[in-house]
Amino acid sequence: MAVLVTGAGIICALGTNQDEVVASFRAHASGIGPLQHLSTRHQADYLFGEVPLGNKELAARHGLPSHLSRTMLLSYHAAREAYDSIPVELLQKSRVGFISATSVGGMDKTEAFFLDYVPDATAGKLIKVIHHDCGKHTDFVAAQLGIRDFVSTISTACSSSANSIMLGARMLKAGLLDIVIAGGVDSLSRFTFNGFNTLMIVDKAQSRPLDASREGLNLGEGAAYVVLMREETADTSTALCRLSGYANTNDAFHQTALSDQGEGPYLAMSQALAASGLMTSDIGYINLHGTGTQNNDAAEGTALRRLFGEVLPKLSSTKSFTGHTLAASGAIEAVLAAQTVKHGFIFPNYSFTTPMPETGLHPVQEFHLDSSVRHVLSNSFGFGGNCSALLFSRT
Amino acid sequence: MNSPPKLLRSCSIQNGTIWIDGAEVFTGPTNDFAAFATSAFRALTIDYPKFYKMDNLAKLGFLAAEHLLAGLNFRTPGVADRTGIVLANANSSLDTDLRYAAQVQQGLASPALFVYTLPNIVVGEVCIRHGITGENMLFEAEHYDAAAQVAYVANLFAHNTIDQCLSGWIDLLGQEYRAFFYLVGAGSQPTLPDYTAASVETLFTT
Amino acid sequence: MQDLKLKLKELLVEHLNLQDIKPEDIGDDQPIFGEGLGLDSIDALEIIVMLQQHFGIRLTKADNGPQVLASVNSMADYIMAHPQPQK
Repeated sequence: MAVLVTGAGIICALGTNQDEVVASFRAHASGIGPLQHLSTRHQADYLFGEVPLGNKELAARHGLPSHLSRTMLLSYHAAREAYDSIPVELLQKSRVGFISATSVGGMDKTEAFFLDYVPDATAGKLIKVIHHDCGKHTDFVAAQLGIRDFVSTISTACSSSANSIMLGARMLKAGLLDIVIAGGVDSLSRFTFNGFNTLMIVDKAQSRPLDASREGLNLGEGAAYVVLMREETADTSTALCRLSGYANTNDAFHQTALSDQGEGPYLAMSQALAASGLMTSDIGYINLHGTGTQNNDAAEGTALRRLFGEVLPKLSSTKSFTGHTLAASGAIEAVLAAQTVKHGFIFPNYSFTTPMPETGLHPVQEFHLDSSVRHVLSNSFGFGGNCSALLFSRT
Repeated sequence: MNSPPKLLRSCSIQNGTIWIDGAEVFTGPTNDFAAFATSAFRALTIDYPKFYKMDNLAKLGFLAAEHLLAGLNFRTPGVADRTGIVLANANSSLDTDLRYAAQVQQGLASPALFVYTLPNIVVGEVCIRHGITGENMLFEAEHYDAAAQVAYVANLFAHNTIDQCLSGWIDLLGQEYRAFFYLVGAGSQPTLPDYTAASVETLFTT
Repeated sequence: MQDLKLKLKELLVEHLNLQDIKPEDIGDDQPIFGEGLGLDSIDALEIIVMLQQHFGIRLTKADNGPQVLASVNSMADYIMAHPQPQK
């Protein structure tokens, strides 16, 4: 029973919908740059993949109160674009689910509250923290969209929204739901940035995934959701692609680093392929996890060599354009992978000079069209060893 | 798996006490989780100093898994990658988030603490300890929903994705904590309960 | 110098949660990573923060971290060679 991706929604540093995001890649315009909206004492020294709208503007676009957490606003924006792609008559007769994911939750508001609260326990507006919980944004967006049949939140770090998509597909195959909007969101916060910085995996310059000189990631933010349906319910001609395989594994090595052999990534990719019945030679393009850290790219590269051997398909890390959007990355990259399958868009690395000596991977360096690509693999690996791989195929 | 999965065993930790299959196996300090955790860990007499670096949520999960999986070996191909972990939690990593935020407030920022500001790190710690590489998931919900969890896990069995699964609920915030872990898999003993929402709910509420 | 080394050992035990190890059990020249005290990459970052907090030392990637952090001796040598202005 096939599961199709019939629609999508996205917001990130590159734009506020699918067309804008693709246009940024076409123009080779990276979304990595100085902060415009979040303020941190580090802002002069670092670059981020920040969504180019402040909270007031985001809220105003949808007639929402502007005091909501940025996570809620971004999630609603992307979920709305996805939801609006579903024919109304279909919605009315379907059981609809909303599965989201986040690592930050309402942290952007909570950390502001904390600053007031710590020196004086009577200070600070409690209303700032009521949306802190990871599930609050999910409940809010589901309520706004009128989705009641199934609402759930996954939190497995950077693989979270890929896992949302997996769960959505499973619920459709089990006949428990008819339509699922699945994905995730994360917004920039000082808490997250400071934390990643103490792990010394953040690059002060534009990140260079797969490059021998890579120094780390750029933090990003955003949200993305895909609309999933069983093939018999969907309009195959307008659908973006099919979700042909998926798998999730644990690397079981370290809380925040991948094993040298890339075992978790290797198992996830192999199992996703096995589930789809495809062979490595069928894969036309890989959207890597590719954060740009020493550890991830080396481990992911090793896993790729183990699986594909000498001949690798086209590959790139779109995080070089969007930044690492944490829990949203799985879904953002799923939307990009769907665009690749549907339209043949091959997204490049932003910049690349020298391959890693250990694995010698060469990413795509220029945006171009390749209509021969029928199957796309998308990787997402999270802290805690959580490794996911999604496979998208032509319908 | 040919026959439906069974509930093989369970481990509960709450209020300074550890139960295995309903029988009390350890009691420790009830006034302070950190003291309880250290005391429970020492009682295990295992050599695993990494335990002391974990945050409270990870310690809670580690202890529950250590008891639940006692005597079982997962480090063989065909077993490791076919063992899953599916947990649910309400307060995410809030306990550690608060500690970390307090540190940042003072101009410090411990990388070792930041590592634990994600709720699924406890899953990673259990995987590292036991060599488990199969599917692993963590859901956020205000309250434990046995039916939803059983449906998810049963689906994994039905699709032959896993042969056994560590599942349950784990939550900790300040001094309020509860771990409810259970192991699902093939079981030959006729007295073992079937893996159903009802049987899990019964275990959770006793 | 001996006071500094003992202080470093006490700080290591405290900051890295080395609960079952006493400061005096750590050898001056003992390699602390890998087999030594079982420390990993996160512990290395933690030590960097510890050195900054207690000695005002800011180790950057260029400072050859792995060599400086290899043992109590190498850390003590580095601290003595890079005196920081007292606050």
